[in-house]
Amino acid sequence: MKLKWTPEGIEFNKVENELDKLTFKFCSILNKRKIEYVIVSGYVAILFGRNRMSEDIDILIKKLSYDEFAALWGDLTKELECLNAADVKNAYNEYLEKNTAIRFAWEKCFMPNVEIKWIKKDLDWLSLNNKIKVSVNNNVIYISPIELQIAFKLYLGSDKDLEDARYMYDLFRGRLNRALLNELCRKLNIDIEHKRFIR
Amino acid sequence: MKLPKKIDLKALEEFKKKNFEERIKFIDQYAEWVKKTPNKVWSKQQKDLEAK
Repeated sequence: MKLKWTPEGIEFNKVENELDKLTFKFCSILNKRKIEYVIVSGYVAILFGRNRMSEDIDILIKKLSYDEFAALWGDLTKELECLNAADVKNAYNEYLEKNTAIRFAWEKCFMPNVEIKWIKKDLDWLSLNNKIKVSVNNNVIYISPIELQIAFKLYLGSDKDLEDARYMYDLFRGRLNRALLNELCRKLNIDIEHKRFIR
Repeated sequence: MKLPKKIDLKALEEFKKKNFEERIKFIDQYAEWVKKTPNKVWSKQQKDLEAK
């Protein structure tokens, strides 16, 4: 794997899979509208080669006004369709404002899909405020810090999450801020049984 | 179907644990392979995986 580390983030090229293609399209629209967002969870590991598939890509977005969201909706629905909300008002008032995710996929497709939610929790803000810029095949996307991803996966604790954590730990071992990772684990009360995955 | 009087849940738990440890070992091997493999090769294999 060849990754170029720059002061701004990470650059690399890869053969795009279906999750990559949808993510790059979705994020290009967010970028064009200068919307603050961060990609979290399983897709971060998949982006860097974890050999498992996922049905969704999780993106946290800094809350938008209704008008800002309506403009975004207009752009998104040119090529994508919302899978769960009936229209823009429904999506904003009955989903996002109630902290429920809305999902977008390519027209007439169900999977893969992008799940978006407003930023809400402390950890969401931590992800957004420390996001990493990643340029893949010249597509710019923003991902959560790797240390936070690993710690949160250990916290979730399912086999799949622990495997994701271990993969990212293996891959970025030499680049991780170990003190930050330990502190995050401490704050998340990661138990010893799970912490052994990052020894 | 005649079920056993008692299913050995302890054995199942041990199986689950061992299986998981084997997967973790495999992930270590896979991560090492990805690190030393050109992007074009590992990402092509990743893409091909979804087609299967």
